[in-house]
Amino acid sequence: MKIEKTVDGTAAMLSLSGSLDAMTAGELSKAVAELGDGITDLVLDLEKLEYVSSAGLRQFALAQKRMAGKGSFSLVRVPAFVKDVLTMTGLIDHMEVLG
Amino acid sequence: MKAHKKLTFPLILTLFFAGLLLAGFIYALIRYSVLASAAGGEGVLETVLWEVIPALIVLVILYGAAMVVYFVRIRSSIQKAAKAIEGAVTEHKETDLGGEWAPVDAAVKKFNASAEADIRTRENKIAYDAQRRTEAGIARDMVKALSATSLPCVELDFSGAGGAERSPVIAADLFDGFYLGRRTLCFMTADIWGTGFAAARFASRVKELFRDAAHSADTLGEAVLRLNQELIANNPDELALTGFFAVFMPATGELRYVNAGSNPPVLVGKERAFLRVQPGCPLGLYEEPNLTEEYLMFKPGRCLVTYTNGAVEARDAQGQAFGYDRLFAAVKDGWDRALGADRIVTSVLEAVKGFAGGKLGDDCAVYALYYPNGIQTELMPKTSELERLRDTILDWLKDDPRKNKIFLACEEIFTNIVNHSGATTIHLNCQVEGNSFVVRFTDDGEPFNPLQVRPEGGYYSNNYAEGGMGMAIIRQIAGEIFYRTQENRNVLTIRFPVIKVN
Repeated sequence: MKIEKTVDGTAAMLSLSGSLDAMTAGELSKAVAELGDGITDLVLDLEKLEYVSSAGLRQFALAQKRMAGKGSFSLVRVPAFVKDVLTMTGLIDHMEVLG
Repeated sequence: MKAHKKLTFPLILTLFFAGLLLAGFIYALIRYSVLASAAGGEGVLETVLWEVIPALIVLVILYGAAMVVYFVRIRSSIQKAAKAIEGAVTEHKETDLGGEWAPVDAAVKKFNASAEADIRTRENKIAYDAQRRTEAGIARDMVKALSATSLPCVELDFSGAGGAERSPVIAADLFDGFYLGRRTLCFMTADIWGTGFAAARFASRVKELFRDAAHSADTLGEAVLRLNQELIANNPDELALTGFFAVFMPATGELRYVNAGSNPPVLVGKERAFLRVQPGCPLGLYEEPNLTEEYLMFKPGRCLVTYTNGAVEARDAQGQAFGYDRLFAAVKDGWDRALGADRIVTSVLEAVKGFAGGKLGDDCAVYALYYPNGIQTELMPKTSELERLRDTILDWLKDDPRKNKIFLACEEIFTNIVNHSGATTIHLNCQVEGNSFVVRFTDDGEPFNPLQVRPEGGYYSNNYAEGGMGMAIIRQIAGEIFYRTQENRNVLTIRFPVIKVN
């Protein structure tokens, strides 16, 4: 999996590509932690994310929890497969999914 | 050691002297009483003493002289002889006493010769035993090396493995399995006619020669004939073998085989049968052996097990033979665990050994070809194995549009096992059953039923570390899920409706 980081003031966007599974979920966790506490708004761009499993969704939820109360967390350009998995787990109703 | 009390010369002499004294005293008494009654008391004692005292003096002188001669001449001579014998015994040489001691010289010579012969016999026996033990040790090592260099051949869709249980007689029963090019498996079992070092040496030649022949010959039949020729051309121990030789080509499903006087292999799966074989004839005996290369379309969903006599002829304490029914049962037992050729081999060998109470009268070698309906692989319980899991599943599903979802369900199962069961190995079996794609995970971890995992407070609560989301995913992708435990293993079977499978 590849993660590209764009930071603009207190907002950040992480663009994920490849597979976000039990093997690679740690990379996202690390990338989010490295953003530091100064970031209040986080966007995950999932356009090139081909695959996600519950281990990946857990990282989405943990990142969302991190931003809770101080800003926003959203998923953008979510591919069909990822959207399906979000739907299966019910997480889709609890996250801001934009496109 | 307690010394024997024997009549020595001085003792005999002293007793003789004492006897003469007693006789003299009795004579003196009788003489006195006779003379006294005839001539009255006067001068009679004097007359008797004049008769007895000179005789007594002569007797004492003779006694003294005899004792002197004994101690000076005879006793020292005996001591000298004893010393000479002692020296002769310790230095293994002859005595040279001569004279009256000549018979002793002869006796010592005889004694030395017999002692030397005795030592030689003992030394020979020790050397012979040592040689036999060394040879037996080497033979055992050779036989062990023979087994150790025949590694299991494991592919996703089939596997081949062999094993042997050894008896004290070193019968050198042989098994081998190796690749002939990519994904073509060549295997054999052989029963060597002989035991010990010669049999072990012969077995190692058979293994090498057959490997060479199999690689260079165009057909299996030709390879076996070539092996036979090589054995006849150079067979110093005049040994022979019965065996079964086969080549399995999964690309075409062909199983080609040559039987050389061995028992017919067994087939277990949907059916329970003997492989139809020509009897053939042993190798190493005839220039033109009567051998036939046969073939069979070996369809998936079964295993073939070839074995040497020692398996079916193993006997229990009551003298009953292991026999074919038990062999079939042991193979079926291994097959039912659906875990590969090596488990079938282990199942058969353990059954044979257990039946014989651990005391086999003959070696027993087994080779199993496991060709299940589907693919299988062993995974380590590490997240990094996900890559292999993905390759296996996606490769199997090829163009199926649901392949990512099916893999997703498999990943969730796999990570559940890795995170919760403490397993040391995870076995994956994938097969098409009817119009479903069936994935089976078998692990040796703690009994763990993932179907009972319930998220605490819902999937989207704060407790995301629980496996709830994973199970939600699995339940929605899979058509059916079954969990059971079998022989201390967790077996989780997931059935997916198939749209299109390779």
